[in-house]
Amino acid sequence: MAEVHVIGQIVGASGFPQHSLFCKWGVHTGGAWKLLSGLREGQTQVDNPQNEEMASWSHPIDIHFATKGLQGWPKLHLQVWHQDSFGRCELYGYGFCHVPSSPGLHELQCVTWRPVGSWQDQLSQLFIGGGVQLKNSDLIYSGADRYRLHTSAMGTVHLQLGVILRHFDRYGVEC
Amino acid sequence: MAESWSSDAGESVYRSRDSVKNVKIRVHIQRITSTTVFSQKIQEQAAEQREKGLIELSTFNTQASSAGGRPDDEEDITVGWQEKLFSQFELDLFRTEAACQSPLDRQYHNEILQLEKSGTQKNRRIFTYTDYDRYTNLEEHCHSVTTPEMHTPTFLAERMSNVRRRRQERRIAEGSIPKSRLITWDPSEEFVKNNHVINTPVQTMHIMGDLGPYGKLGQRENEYVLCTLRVDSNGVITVKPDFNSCRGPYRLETEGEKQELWSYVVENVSLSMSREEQDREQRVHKDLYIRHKEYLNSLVGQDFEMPPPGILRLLVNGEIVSAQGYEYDNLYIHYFFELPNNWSSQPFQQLSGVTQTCRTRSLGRENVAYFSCPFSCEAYFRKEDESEGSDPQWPVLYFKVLSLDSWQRYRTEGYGYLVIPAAPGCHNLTCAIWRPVQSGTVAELRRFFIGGSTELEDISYTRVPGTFKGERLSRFGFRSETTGSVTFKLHCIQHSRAFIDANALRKRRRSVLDRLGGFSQQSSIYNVLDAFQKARRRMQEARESLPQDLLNSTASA
Repeated sequence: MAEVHVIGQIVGASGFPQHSLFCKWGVHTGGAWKLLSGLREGQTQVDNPQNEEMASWSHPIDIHFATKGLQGWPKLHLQVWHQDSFGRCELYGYGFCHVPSSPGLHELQCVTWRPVGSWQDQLSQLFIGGGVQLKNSDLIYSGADRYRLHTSAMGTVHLQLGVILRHFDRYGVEC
Repeated sequence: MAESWSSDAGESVYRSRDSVKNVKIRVHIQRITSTTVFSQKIQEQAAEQREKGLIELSTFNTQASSAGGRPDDEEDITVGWQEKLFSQFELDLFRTEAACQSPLDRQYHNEILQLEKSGTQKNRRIFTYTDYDRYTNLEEHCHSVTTPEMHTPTFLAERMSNVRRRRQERRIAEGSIPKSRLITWDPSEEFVKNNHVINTPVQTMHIMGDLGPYGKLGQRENEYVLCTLRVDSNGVITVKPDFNSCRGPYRLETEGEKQELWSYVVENVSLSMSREEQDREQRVHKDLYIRHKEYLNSLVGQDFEMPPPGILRLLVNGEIVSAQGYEYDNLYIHYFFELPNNWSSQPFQQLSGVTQTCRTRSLGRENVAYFSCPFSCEAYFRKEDESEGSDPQWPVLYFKVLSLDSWQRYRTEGYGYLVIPAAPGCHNLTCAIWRPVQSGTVAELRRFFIGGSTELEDISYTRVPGTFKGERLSRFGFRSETTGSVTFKLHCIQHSRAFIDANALRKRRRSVLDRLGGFSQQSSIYNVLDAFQKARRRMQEARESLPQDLLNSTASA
C-alpha cells in the first residue's frame, strides 16, 4: 500500500463582498483510501480583518492516508460562510480543489461560486440575507449534476499544501 | 602550582534521561598559602626522586592533606541532588526556635538538633543551598550582573524571576486545550505574569563554600558560590563551572581585607549505568519500536492495484477553474475527451460533461466566471506495434464555451482544446479561445438580438479534424474571432509495471515511451519463467514417483 501525507494550512480568503468569514472544509476520498491519522474535516474560526483585504485563518491540515489504488484521489472541498453582526450565517461560496498528486509544496488558489436563485430570491437576499444553498454538499466535488445549477462567481480561498508520497515508486506510479 | 589553573569557569550543559536524583558531585577545596605551595613543590620533587630510586624521606610521606597548614584549610565533600548541608551561619541561626519563621525553617531546626545529637555532620566549610532556600530565590531576583550593584532589578528580571519560581507545579500537557473558556476575559495580575513569558521551569542548587578565616566561620560575607547546578524538566543539566575532568583546579580569591586564594575542584561522581544495563535498555527500546512499526505496517497493508503488464495507465484529476474575458454573461463549458488510437478506457468512464452556468464578476479589467468543476479521466495505452518512430498521441480535451442568459438566448462563445501533458505532475494551463464568424452583418445582428451563432459541426476541427488525412492542413477561408480564455488545473499520474523495473535498474530515461519500450522483452521473460516453473514441477512429481532406493543411489553417485 502506498501512503500520502497532506500537511498544510488554509491560509485565508480574499475577494468576498464582506469580511467576517469562516470556512468549513473537508476531504473526500474514494473507497480504496483509508484515513490513518488526522482530521478529515473541520471548521475555521471567524476572522474579521480590520485593515487588510484578506481574511486569514491559518487553519492546519494534517492528514495521513493509505491507499490501495489510484482512484478516488483526495479532493478538498470548502464552504465559505459569512457571519454578520447579528450572528446569522450566510453562505458565501462553495469551492473545491484536488489534493495535488506531485510531492512538494503547492500554493493553491481555490475559486468559489455561490448558487443564485430567481430574482425574487435575490431581492430578499439583499434585504434579509440568507440565500440559496445546496441540499447535498456532494455537488461541490462532483461534476455530474452541475448543469442544473446557476451560480455566480465569488472570491478565492488560498491554501498551502505540502504533499509527501510514500511507496508510490514501488508500484510503478509516476506522480 | 600556579601554572595549572583552569581559568575557564563557564558553564556547560549536559543531557540525561535518567532521574536527576542520581547526580552526585564531589567538591574539593583547598586554601593556597605559601606553606602549601612549598609542601607541594617538595612533594613533586619527592615523587621524582622516588622514580629515580633514591632514598625516601619518611617526613614527606604524609602528604595527603596539606601539611603545615591548619586542619580546615582543605575539605572534600560529596553532595547529592538537593541534599541540604548546613553552613555555620545557618547552624547558628536555626538552632534557636525563635528565629524560625516558615515551616522550612522549622524543619531545618529539627534537622540541626538531630545532627547535633548524632554528631554526624560531615561538612564544615562546604554547604549547599537547595531550591527551597530563600537564597536561591533572592539570587534569581536581585542578582546583578554589573559591577555597581543595582539594588532594584529591572522590570524584565522581575517578571522572569516569578516565572522561574514556578518550578514543576503546572505541567501543561501537550495538546490538551480546554473546550470551553478559551479566552480569559479578566486576567489577574498573577495570570498575566505567568503567561507572558514562556520558560522551562528549572530546579537550582548551589554548592557554597564558607571561606572565612580559621575559627571565624559563619559570616555571610564570606560565602562564595563554588558550583551551581540547574536541572530542568527535560533532563538538561547545566553545571557552572564545569567539572574539571582533566584540567587544573579553579581559583577563587576572597574579597575583604585579607585576600586569600583558594583552589577547588568539582567532579562528577554519579553512578553510571553498567554496560549490560545500557544494552538491555536499548534492546527493550528497539523491541518496542519494531513492534510499533509492525503495527503501523499492518494498518497500511501490502497490496496495491496494478494495471496489467505492458499497459500504461494515465489518470488525470483535473478541474476547470475559471473562464475570463468573454462578451456575454452566464457562461458554461461543455467538454469532452478524445482518445486517439492505442488508447482505451473503461466503458463506464464518463468522458464528457457540462459545468454549471456561472455569472461573472469583475476582477481587474476582466469579467471572470469561476467554475471549480472537477473532472477525472482514466485511460489505458497499449503499444500495438514495436516501431519506435512515432510518438504516442496523448488524449485531447476539447471544449466549447457557451452563454445562456435569462431570456434563454444561447450563444457560442468559443472553442478550444487542450492536450493532456506527457509529463506527470501538476499543471496550470490557460487556453485561448476563438469563435467562428461569418462575413456580413446578419450573423452578428442575429447573435446580438436573438442569440444563436455559427457553430462547428465537428469540434475536433479546433485541432486537427478527425477526417483529415494528408500532410498539410489548410484552414484557408475560415474566419474566427478571438474571445477569452479558460484556465485548467490538471494533476496527471502515470502508472505502469514497466516503471518498477526501470526504477530498479536505476536508469532515468527521458520519455515515457522509452520506459515503456521493452515490455515485450518482459513478456518473453515471463514466458521463460513460466516454462521453467512448469518443467521444475514436472520433474519434482516424477521424482516422487520413483522408488526410494533409486533416489538414494543417484544421490550418492
